[in-house]
Amino acid sequence: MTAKSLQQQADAAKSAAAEGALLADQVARDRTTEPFARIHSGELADQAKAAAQSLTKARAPATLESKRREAAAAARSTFTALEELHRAPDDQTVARRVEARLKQLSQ
Amino acid sequence: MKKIFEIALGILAAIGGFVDIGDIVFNVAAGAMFQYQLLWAVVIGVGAIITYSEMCGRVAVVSQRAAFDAVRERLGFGIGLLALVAGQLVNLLTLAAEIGGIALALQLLAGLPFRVLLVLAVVALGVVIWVLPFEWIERVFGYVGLTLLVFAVGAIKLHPDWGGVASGFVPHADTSDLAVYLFFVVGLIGAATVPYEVYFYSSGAIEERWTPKDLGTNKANAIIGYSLGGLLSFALMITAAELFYPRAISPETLGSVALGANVPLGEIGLLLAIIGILFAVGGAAIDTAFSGAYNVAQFFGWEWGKYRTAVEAPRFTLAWMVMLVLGFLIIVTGVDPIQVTEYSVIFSVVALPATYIPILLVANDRAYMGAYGNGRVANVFGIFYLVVILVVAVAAIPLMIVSNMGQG
Repeated sequence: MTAKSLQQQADAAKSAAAEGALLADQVARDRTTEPFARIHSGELADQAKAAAQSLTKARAPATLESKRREAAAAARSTFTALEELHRAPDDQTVARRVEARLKQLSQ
Repeated sequence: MKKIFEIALGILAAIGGFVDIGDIVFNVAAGAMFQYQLLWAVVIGVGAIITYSEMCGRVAVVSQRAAFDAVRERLGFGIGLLALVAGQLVNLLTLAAEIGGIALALQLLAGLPFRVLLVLAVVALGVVIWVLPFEWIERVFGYVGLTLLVFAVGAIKLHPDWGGVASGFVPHADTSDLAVYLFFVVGLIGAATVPYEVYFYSSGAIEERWTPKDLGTNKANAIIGYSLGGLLSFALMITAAELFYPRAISPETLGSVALGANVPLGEIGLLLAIIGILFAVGGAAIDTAFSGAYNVAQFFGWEWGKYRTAVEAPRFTLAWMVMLVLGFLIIVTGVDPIQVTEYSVIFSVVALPATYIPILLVANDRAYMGAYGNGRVANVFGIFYLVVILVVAVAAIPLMIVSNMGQG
């Protein structure tokens, strides 16, 4: 894995986290529909999962290894948070918790 | 008064019918990646489609021959056949993407499995085409597609930097990745000028039995309708620029597009956006299926037209059905509809000259057009946009490769 591809995968996971935070905010404030929240959080979870798998499986040079591990862990956490929203797309308490977590992960 | 009403209805249909899945995908992605910087490319694309739609509508009205008739006559059988095959392949890819888009929009609305909705989408399209008359198809999808204007309201509510928006209409590239920027320029121009739009527009003029008395309606529909349709593209790009660009979000699904209306306008904004996407994409799917049937029927000299019954135009009827089935078979393989959209837009850019050059030639042919041939203004715009189209057609594939399909 090159520095560029590592950055691309890490950015993809952060993008899913940032968008997931926006969606979770809508769920938390009861401003969206259940099917939309369920389907779209599922799509974002798939994006985060793909990034996590790619980051986990890849071999990186020693200089990038710690960065790769960190990015893979963040992508996995993003996937887990989005999956939680996907399973409870109309639970405002869950959505508030997920939003806070995803905001952190998107930084 | 009746005439004004007719023009207004046509314009409304053109606004709602302008945006398809290619416009949606490229405008939102461009706003998320380059903020307002690419608004100017939409202006170029809209200018080109206005110029050539007006021209091919006029050719159809005066000569009673639609665009693909002109393509075959001007390019000869051999090259005409090549243009037909290339055009049909692009039409099929576009149709597959639109069918996928319908299923995605239905999924966001109802939450049902994608493949079930794909079947539902293609059956519904077939029934609508079979049952509804041409004018109803065009207008119902155009009018309901107008709910996409929710993105204009959303864009305003997001309080964009209007100075930044204004600067987006002046071409400039403030980016470290010029290849990706140029890829999006090609994509935005290509999405606005896809060949099926002019084939459908010119055949539609004959379907609606326009006469030289309707040339004013033709001009008004093309200029006002497509210009206002271009506003929808601006709204999509500005919404993405406000919502996604600052958060480094790269929108990859139709759900992201709908979220752009959900955030500023809540549940009602979300529902209107999804319904708008559904009807805009649904209308485009019908246009594309018809366009494929028109092209092949006009090329081989078959009876064609929705105003004819299936018995009167059996091969035309079979052709749009085959288009629908093939489009469905492509998308049901599991390919990502958004990726299919991106490829269909880029490949359609490559095929653009084969559509636009014959139209310009015929519109200048006094033997065909008599007193209704191109004037100086139409030719200045026609040649300018033809040069633009030739440049983007040549650049499309190299940019697709160099920019890694816009991924950098």
